[in-house]
Amino acid sequence: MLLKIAIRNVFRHKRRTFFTVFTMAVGLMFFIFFDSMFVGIDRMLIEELIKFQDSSIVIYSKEYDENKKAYPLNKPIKDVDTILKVASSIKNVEGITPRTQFLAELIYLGKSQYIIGTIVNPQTDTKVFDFHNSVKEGRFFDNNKENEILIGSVLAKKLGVTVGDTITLSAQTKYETYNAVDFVVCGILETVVPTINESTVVLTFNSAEELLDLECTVTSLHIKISWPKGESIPSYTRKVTEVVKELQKKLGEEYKIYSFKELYNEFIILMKQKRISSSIIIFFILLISAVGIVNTILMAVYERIKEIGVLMAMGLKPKEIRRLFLFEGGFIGVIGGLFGILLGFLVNLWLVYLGWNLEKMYGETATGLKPSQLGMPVWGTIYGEWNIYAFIFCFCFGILIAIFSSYFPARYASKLQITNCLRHV
Amino acid sequence: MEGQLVLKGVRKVYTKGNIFIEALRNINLEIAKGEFIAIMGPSGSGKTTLLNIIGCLDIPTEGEIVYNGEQLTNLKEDTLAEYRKNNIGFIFQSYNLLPVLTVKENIELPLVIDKTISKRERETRVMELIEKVGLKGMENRYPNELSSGQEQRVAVARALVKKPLLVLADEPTANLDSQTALEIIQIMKQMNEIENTTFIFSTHDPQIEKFAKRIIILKDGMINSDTKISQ
Repeated sequence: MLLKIAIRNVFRHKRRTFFTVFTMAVGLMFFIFFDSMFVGIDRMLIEELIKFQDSSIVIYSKEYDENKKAYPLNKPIKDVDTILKVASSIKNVEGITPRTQFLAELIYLGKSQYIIGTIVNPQTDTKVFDFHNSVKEGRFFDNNKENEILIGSVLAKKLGVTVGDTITLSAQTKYETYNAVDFVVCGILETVVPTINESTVVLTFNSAEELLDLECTVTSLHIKISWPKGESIPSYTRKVTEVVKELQKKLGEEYKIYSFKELYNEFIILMKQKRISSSIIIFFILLISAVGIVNTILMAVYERIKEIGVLMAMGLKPKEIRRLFLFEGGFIGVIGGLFGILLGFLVNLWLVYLGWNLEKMYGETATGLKPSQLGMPVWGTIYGEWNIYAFIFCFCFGILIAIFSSYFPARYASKLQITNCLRHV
Repeated sequence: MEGQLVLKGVRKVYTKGNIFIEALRNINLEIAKGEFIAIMGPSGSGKTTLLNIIGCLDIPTEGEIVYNGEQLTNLKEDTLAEYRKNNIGFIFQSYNLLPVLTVKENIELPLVIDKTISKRERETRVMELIEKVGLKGMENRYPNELSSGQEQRVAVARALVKKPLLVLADEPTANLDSQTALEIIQIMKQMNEIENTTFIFSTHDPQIEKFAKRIIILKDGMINSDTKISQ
């Protein structure tokens, strides 16, 4: 009967209940939305790193790994073909590509700059990395042309290099002799990774042969693991870790294999710290909902003081009066929670499948320039993630916060003097 | 004596800031089971305070209340709630029905609070009382669909449904027209005679007064007269 009274009282003032439920539902909707968006941003950032930095998994020889800060060319991966064969047979492997990195001096019209050179295989690189889609001016490598080079946008601007210019690279060969070769700039690279834009040049294995006496030296192998839309970061991390374990088991201890989680560990820690600040925003949103519920239940207590007196006169104990109002709060919580997850579901549907296009949001200038073209760090589309736990948490939290918010008005009601209640007008 | 209620030297003082209001002074009463008592007196004479103290809705500043030999004055709130639930029915001047419950549910409420009575038993008692108070056919109406007289009938039925030993009614007919008031008091009288339930009610109405077997008149918080009427 108490539950029946509570439920009917909730619907006694439909408009007030509607606004309370609405406030709560909107609060919970924002919770789901922000959770999804923050996870989406995290995913976007990790994806960008995977696309431009080291991919999902990177393999080095053990000797190279111990000296990798010096980019040694004489500690390569010996059995590239075997590793390619082994890695290709593993489930979820989307692409594998070899790379070699070296230190060099870039010289152009009397100006020079120390840079990191990245040697790629254009055919396989496009399956793992996204450099081919990040050429701001000019084009990606042409298979028929040699001695072509891509240069980072900031570096190009600093040295005044444009597409078609000839630059000179001076570096130590594999045999530690010095060499210098001219290259023609075929494109300007602009990625989301600042170090690439500021200090990287990219060239093909064929073009690098003359400069470095490479003889097909490969210092790292990069593996891309498929990451379908909707798959959560923890799930993807688990998947990648499993592949790393399998590879390590098959290739043995002479290779050092890193997953993106280990490669970008510091970045992932930063992401977690960012989640703390985003949780504070979410907390304030939910606090607003809680204030709405406290207000509704408090109003219910004040306008039903006489009824509380009657119920107490009939023998209802203070704890039962408290329970009555907690039922009401809990019921509002259930309705608000259900509406909240429904609204959250609809908003998330949009965020997951259509995404939030940041460039569109900022628009264009009168001359048709996009924010990214003006140097603003605004690019891409944020896609949300389905997080069933966020929905469950949201529903349970909605009920709990409603009950918690009702507790104080309920306690107040249970402590009222019966005679004062009955006298109340 | 079974069902006997005794008030010994009851005094009630209300405090409002530095002002003390003595609502009841040295009240000594013995009420036997089955009595039909009218408490009369001018406004502010202490009628409602006395009913509240008898009904354990309020505690006296001094004095004792003994029911069936049991001292009620020093009991805890939960025990008092239990006592009210098991022994007392209340009828209020403004009916105080729960607006979200139907006629049937309002009458059933004290039995539901009691928790010891089966659903079938509850159903039987409620339907029986609905018939006795003349509300048959109105079981599923809400209080806002009833007249004042019908509302008070529901309140009477609600007070009686537990078969309490004592029913306290604070000016039960004050908001009713004379004909309806008469009908309500007749229902109360009938229940008193059939069930031997003790009724104590406060009133200003001389029409009601003549039904009482005993009239207690209060003045300035004291018993001015206590008269048993032979009928």
